[in-house]
Amino acid sequence: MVSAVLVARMMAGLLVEPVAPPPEPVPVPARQDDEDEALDEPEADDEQVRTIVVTGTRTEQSLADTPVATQVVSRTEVEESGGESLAEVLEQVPGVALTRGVGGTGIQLQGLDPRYTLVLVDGQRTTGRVDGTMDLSRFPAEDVGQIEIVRGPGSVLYGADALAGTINVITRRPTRPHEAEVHAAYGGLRTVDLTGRVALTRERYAGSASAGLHRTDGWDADPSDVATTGSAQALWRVGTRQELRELGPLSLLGTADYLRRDQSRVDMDAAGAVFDRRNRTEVITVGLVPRIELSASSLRVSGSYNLWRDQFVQDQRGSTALDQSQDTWDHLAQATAQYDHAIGQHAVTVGADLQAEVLRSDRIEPTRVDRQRYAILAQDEWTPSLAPRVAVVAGARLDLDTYFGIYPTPRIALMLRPSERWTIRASYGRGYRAPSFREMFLQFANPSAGYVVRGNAELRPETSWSSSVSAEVRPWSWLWLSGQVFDHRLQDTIVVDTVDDGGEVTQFGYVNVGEAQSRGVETAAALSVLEPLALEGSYAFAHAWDVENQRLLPGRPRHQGTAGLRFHRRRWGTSLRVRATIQGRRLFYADVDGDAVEDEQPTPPFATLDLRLGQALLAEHVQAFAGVENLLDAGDATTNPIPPRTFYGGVTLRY
Amino acid sequence: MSTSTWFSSTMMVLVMTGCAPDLGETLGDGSSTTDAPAEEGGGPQVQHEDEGDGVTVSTIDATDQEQWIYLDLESREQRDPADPADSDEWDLGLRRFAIAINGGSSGTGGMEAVMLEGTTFDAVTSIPTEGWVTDAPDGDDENEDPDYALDEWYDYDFMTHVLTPKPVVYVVRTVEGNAYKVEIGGYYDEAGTSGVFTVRWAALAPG
Repeated sequence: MVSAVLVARMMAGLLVEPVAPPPEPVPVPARQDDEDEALDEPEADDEQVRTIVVTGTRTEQSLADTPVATQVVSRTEVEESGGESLAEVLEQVPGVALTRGVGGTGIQLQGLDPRYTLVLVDGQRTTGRVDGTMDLSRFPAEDVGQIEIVRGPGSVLYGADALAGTINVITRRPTRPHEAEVHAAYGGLRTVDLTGRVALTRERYAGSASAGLHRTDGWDADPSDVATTGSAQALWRVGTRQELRELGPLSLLGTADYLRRDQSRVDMDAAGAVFDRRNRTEVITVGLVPRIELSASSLRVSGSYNLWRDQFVQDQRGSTALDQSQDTWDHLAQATAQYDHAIGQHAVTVGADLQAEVLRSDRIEPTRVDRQRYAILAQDEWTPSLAPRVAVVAGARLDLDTYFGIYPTPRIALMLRPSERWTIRASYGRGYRAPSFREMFLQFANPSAGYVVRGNAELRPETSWSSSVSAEVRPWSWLWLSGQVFDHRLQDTIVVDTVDDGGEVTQFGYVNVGEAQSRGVETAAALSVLEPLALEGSYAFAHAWDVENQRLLPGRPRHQGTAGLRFHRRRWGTSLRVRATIQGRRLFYADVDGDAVEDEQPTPPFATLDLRLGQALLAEHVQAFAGVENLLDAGDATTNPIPPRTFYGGVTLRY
Repeated sequence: MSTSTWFSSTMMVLVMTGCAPDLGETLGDGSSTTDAPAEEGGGPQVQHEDEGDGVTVSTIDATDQEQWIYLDLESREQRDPADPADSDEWDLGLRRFAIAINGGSSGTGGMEAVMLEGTTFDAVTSIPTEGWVTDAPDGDDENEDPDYALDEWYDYDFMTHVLTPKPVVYVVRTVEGNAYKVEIGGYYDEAGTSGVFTVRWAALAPG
């Protein structure tokens, strides 16, 4: 930790001092004096000004002013969605498609796979990807304060894995002197969600503790065989956040969280073998963030430790021949130092990240591997004009990985606000994704399915160049429109290739031979015609192309859309929310006629519809709610394993 | 409650939760380990069942990746030869999907075999006069395995990796010079485990 502070100080000295002092006094950095500008703005813009985001630049800014386009899901929206996990919340977010596979529920952003999206919690990397996917269903929603989604490469700030985008889950902060909350819901599939939270805020102290219990039965979309589709699950977590602040210029934040999840399901292979599968996953996260705030600068140092442990048991029915038991421990320690300094029209950020990861698993050879990553980053946000507002952010990061050497990731982003109605943003940058330990060292044989997968320690990182241009416009106070075009070009993508196809056992290996592109458009609109009624809709198109095989990348929709209606009459305390999502046709590839050539397997489009009705009682201390998810009962056992239609109801008590 | 008490009590809760018990210990509890008892022992990995009319149905557990399972047809016994490459104790050797005969590159027993297509097991009543081959070293093909005389017994599904027996009947001439007809009936046991052969076989009278 001390060395990280020193590194940051040295870098601050190196990088900040050469900047020429401003010729004359200029206004303090823009983000602090925007409230005057916003006074005449429509209501939603006030919300944009009030909402503070951090993900796009690693510094706190208002959503209206951040030069990097950021999509925010607020705590209110999390609660209104009825989602009890990050996955259930994000499935309703415009421009987001979820994938469901062996790695759990992952996110596809802008036509790219879950492995290209980095998932952060309070700015810290999380660990425990399976098959490239960070399972979003493992993050309970009760402790989520805000979700920030930044599309496009974030490697310039966060390093590896942020090619398609970065999702930063900001945990809840106490907001009032005393807070207490109990939330209980019961629904179909005997789903129970029970959470509680207490928080205490004093002049120099803010602390909270929360706990949650979530359980659900599994489900089966194809009763013709013994295999099930969705896992039964029992998850519980406890966590706390403790902050001491304004101790002179110093503040200190400590967090700790423990989560355990048990999942079980029944699998069947092509030869008819039936397996009872169980996973027990534990996640421990501990963080410590000291921060020093001075008048025009701040130094923040953070350290965190993340453990992901997964025990997997496969019990073959009627035999022990194919039984398996595996224990995986993934440790990730991170230390970060970041120094922010405002000089005239410039807001300069320099930082250093240290990361050490150790993986122990029966499936890799050797069974214990480790790596370290050292990174330095520098960013300058230059605001040459406040009206019209112009901001330019230029940054670069240098990662040194003990396996791949040095990877530089630059980015430039631009924001123009020619009038208060328009905001235009553009960015161009580089992203990279480091091969996972599994891709490098996996030694996995599946004799029942007849294949062997071998890692490749010689893999290089996957890299990308991405550009995007977006515009937001509010022509009238009741209408908001946004649009974005994006283009990602990925090189050296890692694909699984057949190494040896002779005989019964096919040997697969990982190779850096792929090349992919994804380009498209994302649009959204929101309008509020009558006071209690708001409508919103979105449409996204992504053309994701496998350059190597000259075909569309499998398993993602080219077209998708969302539509929402929200009725909220505050005087009555009544709210109704209707959300619909539509996903277009997706293509998969499989050799169905035995000619060793893969054939296109299109899956039909589908729509989901969710309804939720809420009623506040007793001066909003009680919120009763009821709803239905997947009213149209979309989904099937193979290509679209989404949970069936379920009804639920419950109550949230708040003090 | 004071700040420090609050802090320490919440931290205590976290520390005390610790790590979860091991799941692996729940394996092999007998609930799903009900391998069928042997009808008639031929050896640890070989069981026989008489179907009548001189037809034997053998279940041969060749699941091990390394160990060959050797069978002598005349005695119906599983064998464990010290040097299989130079032994007249065995007729058929099985390991995973590979089936060796004691001849050619596999052994010194001089065995040969014929593959018959377009017929059925019951229809084969005489010993073929031509088409006899034996195991040979790896030739010019995709794999690196020896070219077994009985290596065409299955169809392979590249998508599911499932092996399905072809409708073929083999006739083998054993080390002792007796002829048997052999049909591979399956490669999976009732639990779906691969490498467990079902083999139907019967002696053919010299004609």
